[in-house]
Amino acid sequence: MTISTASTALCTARTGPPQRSEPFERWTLSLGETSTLQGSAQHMFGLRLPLDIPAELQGQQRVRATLLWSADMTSGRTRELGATLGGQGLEEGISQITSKSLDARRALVWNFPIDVTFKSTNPYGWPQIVLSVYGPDVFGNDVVRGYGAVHVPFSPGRHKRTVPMFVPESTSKLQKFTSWFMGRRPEYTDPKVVAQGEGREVTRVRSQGFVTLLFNVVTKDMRKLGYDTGPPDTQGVSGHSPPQGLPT
Amino acid sequence: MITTAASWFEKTSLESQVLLLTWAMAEVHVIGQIMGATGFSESSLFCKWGVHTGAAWKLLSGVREGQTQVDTPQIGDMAYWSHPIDLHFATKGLQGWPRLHLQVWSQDSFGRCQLEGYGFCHVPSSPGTHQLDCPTWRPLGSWREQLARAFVGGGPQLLHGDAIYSGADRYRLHTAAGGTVHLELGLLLRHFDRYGVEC
Repeated sequence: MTISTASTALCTARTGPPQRSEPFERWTLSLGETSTLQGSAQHMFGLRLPLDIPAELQGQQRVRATLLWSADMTSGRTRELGATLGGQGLEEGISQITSKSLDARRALVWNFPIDVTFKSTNPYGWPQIVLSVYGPDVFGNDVVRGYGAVHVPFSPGRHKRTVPMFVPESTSKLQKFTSWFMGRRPEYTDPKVVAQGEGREVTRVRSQGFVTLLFNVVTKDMRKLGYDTGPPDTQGVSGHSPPQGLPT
Repeated sequence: MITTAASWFEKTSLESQVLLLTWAMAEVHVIGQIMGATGFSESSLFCKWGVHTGAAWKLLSGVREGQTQVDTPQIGDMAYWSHPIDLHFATKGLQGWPRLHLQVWSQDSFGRCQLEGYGFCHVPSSPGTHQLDCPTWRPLGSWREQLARAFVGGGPQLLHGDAIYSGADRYRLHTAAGGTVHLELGLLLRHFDRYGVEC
């Protein structure tokens, strides 16, 4: 059982500087501050993220996770404000190393806090959270145990997502044995590949576990700009939620 | 007059095109993942997917087709792809609502690929997040071809992929059921209420 720090009192969204040079840049009003909103509205969504990342990874005793964001930043229309992964204001974060609990659940819990705000003028390139899980193998080397990615939900509310984790696999049996023996397993050089669709046709992977994420999503001005996000996610966590730390 | 306006439009920058289109048209964002597949007899599976739309629809951003990774599941029998789909359409009409068509293939240890099923599903028409289960089928050949498929592999495939998502000329096909492809698609609609469309 872990004691959760599930309070969402961390609000690190800040106002951004005005960008009058580009026609699409606007102010954002962050929650809890009293700056005024100038220009036309844009949509911004702030996320309070779990606090709870229980994981089930088959056979793994100790694992740690690296989390990072992948959103379509290339067009310049999506900007990130005030991300804190683990309270450090970073685009990516590394969790602690967790071991399986000694009780019957055999649960792996990180309970890793994430708090991030994005603003954009276009939902294309909606942010995804990319996870990489590492752990020691039988020889003690730190090897990759799984990669996974999931889109951040776009309807406001509380959502639970279970992300399947997979590792790249080499084709030849000899290479599999060599990499097991030497402790150098195939890894992605850039984990953000997992968030993209292109270039994955030739990869062979092995899926071996799941990570659960809990999202609290707040959006701003999506309805004003004409976007309909539909009803709140009914298959997410609704009503009374179980105490944090219990993988449901 | 119309042709010159259209050609003028095509010559403007993409940014201006998007501005003009998005002011005038309704938009649909499809953001989600092809999660994986269950129920297939083989375990190393990948999926080729594509989106087909009618003439009134224009793809503004995103790739219209792709292929997932090959997954061999270690736990359970569901092959997980987690392949992201991010599409942005602008539309002038409801005809030709986007259809996602899928081909599930298996890859053996020698690297040979064999067709396991075809399937299609319409992109949901109501906004929000949807869990979709798309059943698949594969063409059965003559008994000789079925025997050959059991021993050597291979088997009949469709010549033209549009038979997957269109109903024409299907009466000639004799098929068997494949497994199910699971998708999680989120739909964002814009300006549909402006045109009086209820969804």
